[in-house]
Amino acid sequence: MANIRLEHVYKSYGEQQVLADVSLEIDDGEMFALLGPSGSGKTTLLRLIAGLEAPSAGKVIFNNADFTHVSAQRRKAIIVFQDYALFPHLTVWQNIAFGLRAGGVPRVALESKVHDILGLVHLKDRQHSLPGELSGGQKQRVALARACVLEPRVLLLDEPFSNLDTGLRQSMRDFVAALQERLRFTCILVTHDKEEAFMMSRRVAVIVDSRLQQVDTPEAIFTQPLTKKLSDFLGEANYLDGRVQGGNFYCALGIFAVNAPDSANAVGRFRWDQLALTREAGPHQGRVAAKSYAGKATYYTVTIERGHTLNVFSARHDFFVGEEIFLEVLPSAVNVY
Amino acid sequence: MQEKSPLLKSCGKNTSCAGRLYATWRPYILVAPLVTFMGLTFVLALGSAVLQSLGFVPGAAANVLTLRFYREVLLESDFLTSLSYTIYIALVATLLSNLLGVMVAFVMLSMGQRPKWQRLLYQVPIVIPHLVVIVLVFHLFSQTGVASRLAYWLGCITHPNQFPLLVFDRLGIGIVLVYLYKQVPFATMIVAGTLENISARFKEVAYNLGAGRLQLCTQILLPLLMPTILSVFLITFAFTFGAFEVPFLIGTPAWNTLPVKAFFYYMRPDLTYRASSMVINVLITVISLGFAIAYGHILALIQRQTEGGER
Repeated sequence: MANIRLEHVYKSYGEQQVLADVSLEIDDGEMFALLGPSGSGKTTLLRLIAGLEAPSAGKVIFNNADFTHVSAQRRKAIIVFQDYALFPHLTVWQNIAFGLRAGGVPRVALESKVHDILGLVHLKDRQHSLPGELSGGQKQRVALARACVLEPRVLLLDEPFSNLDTGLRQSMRDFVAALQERLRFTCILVTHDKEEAFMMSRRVAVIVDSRLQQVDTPEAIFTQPLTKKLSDFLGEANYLDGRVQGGNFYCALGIFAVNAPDSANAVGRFRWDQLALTREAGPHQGRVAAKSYAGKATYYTVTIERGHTLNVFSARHDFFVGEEIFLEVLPSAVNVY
Repeated sequence: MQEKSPLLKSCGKNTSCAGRLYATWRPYILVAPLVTFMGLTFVLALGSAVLQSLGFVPGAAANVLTLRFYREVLLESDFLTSLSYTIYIALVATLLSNLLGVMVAFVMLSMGQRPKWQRLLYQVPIVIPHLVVIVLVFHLFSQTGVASRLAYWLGCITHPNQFPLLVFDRLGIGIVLVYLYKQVPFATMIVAGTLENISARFKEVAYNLGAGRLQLCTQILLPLLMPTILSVFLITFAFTFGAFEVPFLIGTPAWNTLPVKAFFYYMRPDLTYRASSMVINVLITVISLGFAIAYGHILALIQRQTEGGER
């Protein structure tokens, strides 16, 4: 287990900058998520931590020791790859034992460790199977076992659930969370799925366009994204132009107290779930222009006065297209950029 | 009532039926000319060879089918010598070329990205005809060749006769050299492509798990490379086993490989020897087919072991 610290890390491939000035600290034994869209640089950051890439500038520090130039073999920062990358010609047992053998672990200790981890991932009955004979969930458990058996300083999970179908994905998330809780290793989860990042970790770092946008709790990132880029990535928000004056944001939906400096050209962010539709008279009248049923909730597109179009995410399914309705804005709903 | 085939079932209206039929059969129609040509050539040639080996040689007025020629060829005193010599040449050339090809592929991998002209450098010998390589080897390694003169000039030998016999020699060194020149680049080209793919996928995984280069090579890359190496082995062995011109031109006069022996039979004025020639050709074909079948079984076994049943 280790405390991981990145100090002003940059990475470029020729002219193309992939990471710019990334600094963050991950606590010993923490379950931490790196969130960002595809191509944002989060996997590169993971590879820098694992030692599979060298930073163009900056430092990678494990437990206060500079590991920037330590080889991948000696870092014990083990990646569970997105496609699991199991060795196809080795059995489950041999795959799990591979790293221990490479590290010269004596035979008796090796067998004991493999035996224990096989039990932990519930794969004792498949230990003689080849990866090609396993299901997606089983393959992932082998990949996790292969990494965990080495008692890594840090376990790096690269989009580990993206190849699994919906039902299996949730059970594997629970499985990984329980495993991390039990073994208490430092764990970094890379994902583009914000729900996954929020559910699995206590702190999340969001990278957009090669830059770290915010490091915070899932709640803070969801409710108070610091940058417009981060807000755009999180999505599911309406933007209304307005102005900030004396701690208030003035826009088409009204006046809202905000903690922002005065600005004549401000943009207010209203999340879809912070707007509510009602048939009872209210300050903002509108009309349902479109509706999409999505199971637990329904997405509505509503036009209000002065031609503004807003999206609303509602648990109520009973409004119909063309219906005249009223719009309510929940208190403390606005973020201003 | 007979059930319609899925193809006929799918035909709704007559107008679309022809189009769907064409779409279904289009790939087969497109490859039909080539397959017909290749198939007919192979079947007719092999059929003719088998018939002639059984004594059906019209010009020789020996039109009774018999196994006499098989018996005669197999019982000949030098048949086993020729067979052994052919297998020896094919095995040595194939093993060495495969070994060197794999080694070069690993060296190239360790060198990383190379300019295109460097990759072309090892691919050029593949397109040079065998006859040209024979001339090259003869001029380089015969007792009056460049190597011999160089050794003389350096004072290593005092007479060309002292230079070791590398061409027309009993060990078939000249023949093997020609095959190495042609087959090492071929083996390298095939193996390097697969090796790059395997390495790209598993090198980082192995390093990340703490493995060194030796463990990566011996435990991951080489085992995963085995089907490819086996393929190259079969192709190069089958080619060398049935090749005629190299042993004919620079082989030892003492022993003939089977293809050379077949050629000499074929060229005899007495047409009944055509049957003996065809017996040898049929035997070469049968042995090559045996290798192909064995290869298929081994490959399937390896694939079962390495991949299992993909889900």
